[in-house]
Parts: sequence; structure tokens; C-alpha cells
Amino acid sequence: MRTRLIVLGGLAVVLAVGAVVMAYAAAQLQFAGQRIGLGLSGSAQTPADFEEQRFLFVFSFALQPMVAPFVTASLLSVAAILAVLARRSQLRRGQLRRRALAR
Amino acid sequence: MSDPRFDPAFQRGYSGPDPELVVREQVSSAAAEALVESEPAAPAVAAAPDIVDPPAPLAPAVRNPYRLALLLFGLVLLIAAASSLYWQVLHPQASSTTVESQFVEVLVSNLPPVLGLSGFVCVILWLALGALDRVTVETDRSSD
Repeated sequence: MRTRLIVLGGLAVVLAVGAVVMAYAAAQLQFAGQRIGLGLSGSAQTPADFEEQRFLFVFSFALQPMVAPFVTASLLSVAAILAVLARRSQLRRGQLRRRALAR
Repeated sequence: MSDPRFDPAFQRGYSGPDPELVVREQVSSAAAEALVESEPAAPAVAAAPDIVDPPAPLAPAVRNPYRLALLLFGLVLLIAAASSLYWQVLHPQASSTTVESQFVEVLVSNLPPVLGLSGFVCVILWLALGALDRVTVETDRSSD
């Protein structure tokens, strides 16, 4: 049980880090796409620039919806750890109660 | 009494009874003697634990700290969901000019439903655990 709780804790941390990385990557892609769209690179926009911008925006908008499930899974892992510990504590108390009654 | 470190029971190669058990027995017998000496009514003292210790079902319910932590975690998540929603209302799609502000925007736009959902799940788990505990206690009582 202890190993599984550690796995759950590790999963919570990994998923939270994954969500942050994904959100940051989405933000960076969106920012790069906006830079191309605004013509901040200095030169005139070419069809290749438009294609690159479209590619960056598509990737950014594909990453953004993935952040929510990762954060949810991370928070639910923490909740599951607490729930398992609470249930184990309840069962232990029940065992003690039954032993006291049997005496 | 001499220094226990020089006792043969603590020396290498000793094959007698377990020194810790011997010490415990000595301590318990000394405590019993002290009780007998201070309290002349020894049988009453001996019977005290059985009387003082109430039967477990009648004992007051002990709060489960993990269950309480689950409730607190859920409430914190719900408050965070409300706060991020409020943040979104205050800063509706502000023109973000840096990667950092866009990162915050991506996170904040995703957070309210996630935090709310997780918060509600925690509160539901808290209620379910409470119900399970109650069922266990009632089953124990009915089996008496």
C-alpha cells in the first residue's frame, strides 16, 4: 500500500509538472505565432511565414486543452492519497473497536 | 545499583535472557511495588483500567485527520476556482505582450473548471468516507 501511495504522489507531481510545461509551450508557440503575424521580425511576410504562423497556432491550440486534464488528474491523485489514508485510518479504528469488543 | 553498562547482560557473548526484557521486568516490578507502597488498596488500583476504559462503541468518535485534510483541500480548491474565475472577469483576454503573461492566461483560462471539479470530488469523497465510517460503526453495534 505504501508503494502505491508513493506512486500516486509521484504521479501527482509528474502530472502537475507536465501541465505547467504544456501551458508554457502553448504560450510560447502562441507568442511566436503572434510575432510572425505582427511582422515583428522586420521583413515583409511571405506565404512561408503565414504557413509557419498557422502551424504554430495549430500546435498552441492543440496543447491548450491538454492542460486541463493533466491538472485534474494531478489534483485527483492528491485527493486519492488523502482518501486512501482516511479509509485506512477508519479501518484501523474499526479493527481496534472490534478487538476491544471481543475482549 | 551499579552502572548497567558493566552488567554481564550487556557484554558480548552473553547468552542469558534478553537484557531489555529483564530491565522491563525490573521496572514494572519496581512500579508495582511503588503502587503497592503508596496505595494500600491494591486490588482497586488493579481493577481501575477495566472500569476507566469504556467499551469502544460508547467512546466519543475520534476525528479522522486525513478526512479533515480532504475536506480542507476541497474547500481550498473551490475557493481557488472562484478566485480564478474572478481573475478572468477582472482581466478579460488582456492583450498579452510577453510569453509569461500568455502563460498565465493559458493557465487561468483552464483552471476554474478543473479546480471546481476537483474541489467537488474532494467534498464528495469526504461525505462518502463519513458515510462509510457510520456504516461500519452501525454494523459493529448491530453485531453485538
